[in-house]
Amino acid sequence: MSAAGLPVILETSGSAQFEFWASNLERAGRLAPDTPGLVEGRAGHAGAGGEVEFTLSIRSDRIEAVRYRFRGSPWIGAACAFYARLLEGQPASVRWPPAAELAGQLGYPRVRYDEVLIVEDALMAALAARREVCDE
Amino acid sequence: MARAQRPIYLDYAATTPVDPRVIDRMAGFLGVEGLFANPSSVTHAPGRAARAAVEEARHEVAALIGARDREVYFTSGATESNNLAWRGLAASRRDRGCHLVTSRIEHASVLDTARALEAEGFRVTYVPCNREGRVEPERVREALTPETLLCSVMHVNNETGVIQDIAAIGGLCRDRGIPFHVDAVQSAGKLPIDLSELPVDLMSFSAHKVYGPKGIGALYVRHDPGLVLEPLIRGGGQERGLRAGTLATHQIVGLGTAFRIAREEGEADAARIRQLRDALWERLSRLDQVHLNGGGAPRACGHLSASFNAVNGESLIFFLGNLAVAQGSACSSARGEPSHVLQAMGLSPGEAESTLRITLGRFTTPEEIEIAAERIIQAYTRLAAIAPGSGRRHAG
Repeated sequence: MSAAGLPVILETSGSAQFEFWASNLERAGRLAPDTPGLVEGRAGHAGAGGEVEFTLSIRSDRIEAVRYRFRGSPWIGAACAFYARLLEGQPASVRWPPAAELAGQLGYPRVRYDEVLIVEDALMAALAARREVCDE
Repeated sequence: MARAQRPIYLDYAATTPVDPRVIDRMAGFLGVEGLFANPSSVTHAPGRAARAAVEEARHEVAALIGARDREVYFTSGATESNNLAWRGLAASRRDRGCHLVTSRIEHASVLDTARALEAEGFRVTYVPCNREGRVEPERVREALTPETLLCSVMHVNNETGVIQDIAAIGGLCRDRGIPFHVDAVQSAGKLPIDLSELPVDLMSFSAHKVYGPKGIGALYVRHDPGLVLEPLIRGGGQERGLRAGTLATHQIVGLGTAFRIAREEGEADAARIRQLRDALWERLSRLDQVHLNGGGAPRACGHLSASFNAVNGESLIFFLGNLAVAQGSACSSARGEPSHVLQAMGLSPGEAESTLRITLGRFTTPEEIEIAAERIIQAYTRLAAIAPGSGRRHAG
């Protein structure tokens, strides 16, 4: 239900950009446990809006590889694929487009914006895990 | 994962294509060369011919369900029929009580009407179902009171296809003098219905679930001077004053033709469809963490409701490409809420969201089922493999 208590109308199709990223599973999966510089982060819950897990390989302050796993809507899957592609090869300090901006870029319906937050939370958890490793 | 282009329609519970024989028949009632006259204009021959066609259609509807012609009233569809049964009876019997009984797994057109009547001061008891999606007659018996004006339970659930024991529930109502209404939208033409034997007082039908056109349906009202409904729509006195409005001859003729074909071919259709449905489930049941909803109960021939618990149903549908299946009912999926039916059966919101409703029909082919099975298996396996924690549950 929406905040106003009205039924939320599902948008079942999105922009061509959304279709492209949602069907792109190129980076779906998980990096092997022995990958150098491996960090991981998770967010969400499968029974409550979706669950996302990122594994990143960061070496010499550069994101060498990104993989993700998710259980949730194709809107979540599309955001995962987009962020994974965007971050690979970038410095670890890269600034990515915030969730709402990405949702707008990919033409998400407003009611779907919240789902991208789970993806962003998982990414932030992974990078926070890296900082913890570095601080030790 | 390639998204195939060829559309395969497996959402017959939402609506069916109109049978070509129905289209042919309807076309004769539209143009200047056809029987387009108002069936109430019985002062001239074209009007009388249109009237005769309407009455012939009424007879076809009655013949499918074991009713008398005069017990069949045309409406705009099952939603109106359900509203008319509930509101019409509640209005005419208000002085006798204010209690109504239904189940938690009814279609929105019943549940929303029930809620609206609650807001107007009526009291409604929503009887639960068991884990197999069956409304147990004993639970209905417990809910009935001397104040009960109406009991309403659907024949076949639109999401699971589970068949309710309307003979037993209707018997309980009849013993207590309580009118019994049945939403038979998903059962007409698929299951035998004999209202000369069944203890049912009101029954709702729709044409577009039986290969007829959208926008036309019927309400059966058992002939009984004590069973009076207040009309929802007033005007020219059509349908013996119960439902005013110019009769849509072409739609009514479409309904009648669809019901005639169902009477003549329904049994053979059902056997073939059941075979295809069971073959599909045989393939899907081999997948890990896939559960058939209502599998322990008698089900209508074309329904297959399965929870694909390792993945999200919406994503699964996305990767099925042009395979037209539903997540819940067409109405509930438009609202974006997990199915109330599946949750009433004890599924968690997550399990409900993992569910696909696959419904087969008259035009489904074995080739389509083979392709559908392949696509579902492929998409599910791929998505399950990339779900968090999948390494613990799935190989690679």
